[in-house]
Amino acid sequence: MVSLLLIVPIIGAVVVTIGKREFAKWTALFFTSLELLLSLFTCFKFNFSASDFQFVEFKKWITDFSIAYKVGIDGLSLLMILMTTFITIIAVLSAWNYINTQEKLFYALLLCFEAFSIGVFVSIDLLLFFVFLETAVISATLMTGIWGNNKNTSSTTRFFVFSSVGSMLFFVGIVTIYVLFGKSAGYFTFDITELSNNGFSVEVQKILFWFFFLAIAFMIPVVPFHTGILNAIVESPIPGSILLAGILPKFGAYALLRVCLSLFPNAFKIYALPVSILGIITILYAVLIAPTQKNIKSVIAYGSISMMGFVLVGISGLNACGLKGSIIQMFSHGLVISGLFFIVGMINKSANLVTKISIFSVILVMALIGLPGTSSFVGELLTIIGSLKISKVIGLLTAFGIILSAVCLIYACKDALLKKPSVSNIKDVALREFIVLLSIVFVVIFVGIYPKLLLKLVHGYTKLVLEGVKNGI
Amino acid sequence: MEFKLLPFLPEGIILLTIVLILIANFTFKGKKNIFFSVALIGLLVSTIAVILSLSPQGKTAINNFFQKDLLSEISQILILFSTACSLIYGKKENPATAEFYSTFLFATFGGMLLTIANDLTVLLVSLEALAISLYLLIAMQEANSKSAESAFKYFLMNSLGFAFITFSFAILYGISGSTLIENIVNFLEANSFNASLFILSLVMACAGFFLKLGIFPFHSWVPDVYEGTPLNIAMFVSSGVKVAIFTAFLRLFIPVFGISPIWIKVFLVFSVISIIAGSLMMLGQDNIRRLLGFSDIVHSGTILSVLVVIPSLAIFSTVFYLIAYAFTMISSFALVGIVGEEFNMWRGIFKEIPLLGGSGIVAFMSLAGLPPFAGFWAKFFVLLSLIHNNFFFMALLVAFSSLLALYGYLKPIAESYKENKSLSLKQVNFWKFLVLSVSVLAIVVLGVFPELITGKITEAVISFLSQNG
Repeated sequence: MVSLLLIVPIIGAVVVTIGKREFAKWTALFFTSLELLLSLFTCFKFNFSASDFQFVEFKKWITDFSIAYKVGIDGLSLLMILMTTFITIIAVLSAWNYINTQEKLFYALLLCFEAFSIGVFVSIDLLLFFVFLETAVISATLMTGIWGNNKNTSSTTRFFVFSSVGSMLFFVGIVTIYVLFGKSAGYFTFDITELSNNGFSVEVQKILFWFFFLAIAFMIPVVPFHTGILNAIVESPIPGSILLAGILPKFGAYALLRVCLSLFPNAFKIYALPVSILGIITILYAVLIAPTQKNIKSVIAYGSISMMGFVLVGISGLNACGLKGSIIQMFSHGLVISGLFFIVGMINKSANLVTKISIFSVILVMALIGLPGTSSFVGELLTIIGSLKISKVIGLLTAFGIILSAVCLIYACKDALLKKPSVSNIKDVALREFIVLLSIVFVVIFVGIYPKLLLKLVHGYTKLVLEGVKNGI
Repeated sequence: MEFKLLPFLPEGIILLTIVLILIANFTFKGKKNIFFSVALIGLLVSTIAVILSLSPQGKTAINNFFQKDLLSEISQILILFSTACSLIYGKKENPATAEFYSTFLFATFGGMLLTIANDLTVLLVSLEALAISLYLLIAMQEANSKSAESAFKYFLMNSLGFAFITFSFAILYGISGSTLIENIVNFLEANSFNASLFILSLVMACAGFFLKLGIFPFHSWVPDVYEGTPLNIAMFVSSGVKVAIFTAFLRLFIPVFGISPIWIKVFLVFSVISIIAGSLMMLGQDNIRRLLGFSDIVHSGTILSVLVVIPSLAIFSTVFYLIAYAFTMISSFALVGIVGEEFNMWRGIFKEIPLLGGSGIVAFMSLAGLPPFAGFWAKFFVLLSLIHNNFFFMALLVAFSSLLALYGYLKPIAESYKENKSLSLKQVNFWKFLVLSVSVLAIVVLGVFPELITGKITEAVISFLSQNG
């Protein structure tokens, strides 16, 4: 089942490469839709009441070092897979008329990126996780580099070097865990479920925690480390921006939940306060910078960073509310940001403003700032409730962050939303674009009104991980 | 004195091929391709002979002067492969003379002997057989003044290294009264000896081998030689020769100098400075061949650093690293020959010929140690060995050196993204593409399925350690 999810996009990439150029986008659309159907089908097969990994597949990779191809799905992974498959279709449709050179290569890379991202979310073996993470970053970099702003390839290089700093830290970190665990337990493994019963002393956990947190900070991104990914999002072509801003930050948040939280619960408890402060700094910095930006893409990128700040605050709450809130926020962030970039792509390409999308853009901007009724509201509300348990000040600051983000982001978008278009020939929205926007808005509002479905999905995961935190000390 | 010839079948075939080529020089003077074909057939038959004789049991021959085991056979296959690659790659440019092909095969022969030498004199002789053939090969292109310059540099530095090694071996002989490595080890374990003389010998051997391997303060010839020599010779120097010398280094150092813990400090210091200096010097380059030269210094330093850990992990990581590195270097030099050595020659490659740009990414990302390419596993095993032996900061240094290097490798790749309407590649022949595609394929396959070779390497390590304590 899981391997099928991984292999379908790869087959798609091969078919796109050997197929005809005119059919590239149709093939890509077919395979991404197939992948979405597959992930929905996984949803039906999924046992919501269990909290362990399901559909686990195990195969030895390197026997001498007990490295395995071990994949499986739990509630958190499933949610992330659904988000990834959905966003990839949006990216394909946004590339529809936007990418005019070397379509075959582009769609092949996009499908590879989808496969590797799903690989990140399903790996149980830590080394496999790292391999998928790095290959996904390489394919995203290629998309940004080749089809992005041609005069400025240095931002692509910078993004790749920055993210490699993070991945090298991560790499050294996982090897260290492997060795430490092996020396104390007597056998070596990269399996996350086994590593979580590591029994590392608090001192060791503290050091490893910051090691991993620093690595993850480049991916989420946490504020002093955000410049690499920010420039890449702005310089990238629209479909690339959708993938970079929509999916890549989730790798960081997912690694925080999957690695830091379940492997070093004790250290996380100790450092919950500094992490939440970093989250608040991220939120406030991003929303305050956003109005000063001239380029609408960087406004959205800063909005995206601020939304990920809420995720960080929520996770550091270390309680059911905060965790669920930040997971929903992750999901909602993916949809809202990719929807907004999709609209930017429409405007860019046809060089006019479109009448019917204004309603969609308003809804999505409202979702960006977390208005009640949208999915972000649920995420941010739960996050605030969760963060109140760290301390009242943190909770208040988070709530202040929401208000400030409303003020600043609306101010930043006001020209785009309210001014009369300077171009006269206003074309109407195509059916394809209409359907994409309608489905995004539908999901955003549906989750906003009825979040119970998602909450139920991630309930098993949060219960399990919080038990680990509770038994930690 | 026992004298069995059968264990020497692969080396014998190479010698026979050299003789055949020299004879063919008289009989088939007009035919240009005859030497090439004979040389390739000889290499192929010799490779088959090595593969057929693969066995975990070690074999000794001629009174223990030679010792064949899995470790040496793996290295021999690599040396033969890289010889074949560089001969095929340079088919058009190579002088089609018997001298060229026989000298090249003689270098291969020297390299193969080097991997099985179990005696100090044999080691010296095969080291020189390899080196002298290389001086000739590098200088053989008369038209190119750069290649004469680099041949001279290579000659000077390597002779100096040879002098150091000879001096060190003389001292070892003086201490122990034997040139056989086995006897020396037995003597050192059983008797007391003058420790300062032994350390002097260690220092001299280190200096000599560091010169040959291009470790930092002795590195100056590496970028010049990589830049100036004919491409396919540089390809051989960076892959086959490297493998041969590192194997000899392992076979000498682990049993003989492994007794004294002082080498750990020496190796750590030299690997740290060559990693740092090599990666820093890489940043300012704008010529890919020089870039590869500096990257070679960093990689040699990395392999050196892993030698300080417990022998089993050290040998395993080194052998894997050498295999991954040989393929990566072959593909990088193949790319340089096809695309060009200046960064701006890479402009637009990815836009116009995605397959070529893709190969560039595979080669350079493998050099930087990123997954899913062979270089990643090499780096992984190095980090694993270092952290397992509590050299945590060394592991961090190795990881971060690859970041600096990555910045260097990304420059030609960033160029290849750009538009270039006037891109004109020279007519590329089939042979060059063959070498490129084989080596790139090997990098990817090893990157995804490293278990193809890890099992054999583990066997080799076990058999090597069982013979050398």
